[in-house]
Amino acid sequence: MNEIITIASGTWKNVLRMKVVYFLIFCALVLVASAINYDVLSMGLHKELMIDVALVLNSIAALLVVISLTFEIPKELREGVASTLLAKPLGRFQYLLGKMIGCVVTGAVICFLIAIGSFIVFNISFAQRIDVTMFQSHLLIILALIPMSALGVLFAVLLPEVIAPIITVVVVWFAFSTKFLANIWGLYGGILPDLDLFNFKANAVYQVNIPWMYILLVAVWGICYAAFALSLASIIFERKDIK
Amino acid sequence: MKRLPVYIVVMIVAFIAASFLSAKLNKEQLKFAPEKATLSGTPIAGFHKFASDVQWMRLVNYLGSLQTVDESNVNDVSAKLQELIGLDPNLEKIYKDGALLISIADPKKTIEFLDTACKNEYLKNNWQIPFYAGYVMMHNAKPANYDEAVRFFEMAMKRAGSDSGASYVVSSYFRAKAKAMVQKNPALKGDERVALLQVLFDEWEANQKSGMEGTYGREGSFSQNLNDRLIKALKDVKVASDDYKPTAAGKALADKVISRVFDKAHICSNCTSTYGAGEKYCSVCGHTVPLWGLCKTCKKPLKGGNALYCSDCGAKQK
Repeated sequence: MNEIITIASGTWKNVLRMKVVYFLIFCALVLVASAINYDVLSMGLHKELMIDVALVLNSIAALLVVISLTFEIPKELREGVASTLLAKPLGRFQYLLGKMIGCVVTGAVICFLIAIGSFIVFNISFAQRIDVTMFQSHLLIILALIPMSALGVLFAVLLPEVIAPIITVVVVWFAFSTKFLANIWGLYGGILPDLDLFNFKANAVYQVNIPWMYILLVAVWGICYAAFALSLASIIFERKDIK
Repeated sequence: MKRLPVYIVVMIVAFIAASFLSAKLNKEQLKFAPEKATLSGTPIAGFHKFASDVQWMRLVNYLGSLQTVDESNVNDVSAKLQELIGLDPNLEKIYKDGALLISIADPKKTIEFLDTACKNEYLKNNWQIPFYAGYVMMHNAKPANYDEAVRFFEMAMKRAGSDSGASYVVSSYFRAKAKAMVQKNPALKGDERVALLQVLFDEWEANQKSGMEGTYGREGSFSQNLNDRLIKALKDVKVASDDYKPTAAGKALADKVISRVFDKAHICSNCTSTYGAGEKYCSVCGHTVPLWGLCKTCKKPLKGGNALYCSDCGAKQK
């Protein structure tokens, strides 16, 4: 367990100590705040726009964190960092799990900062309290990091450094989009991730409450899917020849 | 490689659990986000709401470049509205501002959009949307379908509840019913005034049968001003104007309404003005009116017509 935490902490420290991350969070919040200027152009929908922009930017931030992981694993394999780590009494599965947890924690911290920042901006702009659905929608984005990170790990192990991030983006993009596949049992939500289960941006805007039981179950789904993707990644990784 | 069977078992178990949960959650989410079932299939990574915001602003911008919405551009505007509905069916402005823009150039499409909104779960308490649908159906649709307009107005009335701002919905509802009656009944010879009086009288009778609530399940406040509406309709039917001559059928119906509804309200049968205790002639039209509110003893008018004691001779009345 300690090895996993060590790997994970290395991953999140790598990202969170970069000042550029906080500058990007600041830029995201400036974009959120800029929605207030769209009152005329949107015919009074600027409040809804602000809520939505915050959620969209949070989703993009989560995706960027996952992409950073798909760069990091192949880089560590190429530079021999991974082989040094794996020479120690550390299983390959633990290495991948540590990377995934590190990615989830990194994403959670960044998304949390964006969410809190956007709540403050919203409160200052409209002098209104933050509705629970806004919080729930941001929480779901953070929870979506679990299956997204597992996917990132899978593609980072499976594909070369250049292709892995592209494929990850494409798969995540379609996992949020291909709702029509949801009726095919096992395919969508089983093999293909059903990330649309985490997407309730409209609920935040229209303040339609999301049951907490649903959020809990969707988190369980995320963990199940991550277990599936991570097991598959481990099978591939175990067979991989590492220099 | 000795861990391989463990990975395979974990993978299979996780796959089955994820598939099962996903199927369950997909059904579950439609309970609190039913619009997900009707969202556009465009693969935009779940950014439908954001895309709708952008599309809405583009539509506002586009509309700003038009002088008017007519046959030359109505299809473009409709297509943009349709796209918006696909992205965010809950966006009220699409219907309240957007759809009404095409109501003259393409009333059929307008009603189609508004009807979609009427069925929307999130907008189920919005009374303005069915009202607009009824209004367009009655005034812009060719040919007008008054029965459908009545259906929309009735929906608007039920949704409005006791909202005082929705009083004109009731007027529109009665007017649509009257127009529907004229359309179906050739004996009325297109006389909408008589039809309206008949509709109001029918409503009054239905109210009498079912108690304070109207027959259509709406709040009592809607029926409170029914008498005022009846008096106005009576005047319209009885009093001649530049563009209207009272008919015999109309007068007969008016007399029936006065005798049934206003038997204790002391209304002049000629001009429907109210008259006071002790008055022999209507002060508005000079028509003879039945005496009421006189002292049993001295036959002088009582105060308010129903005072307990006569102010002239002091006799007790009851």
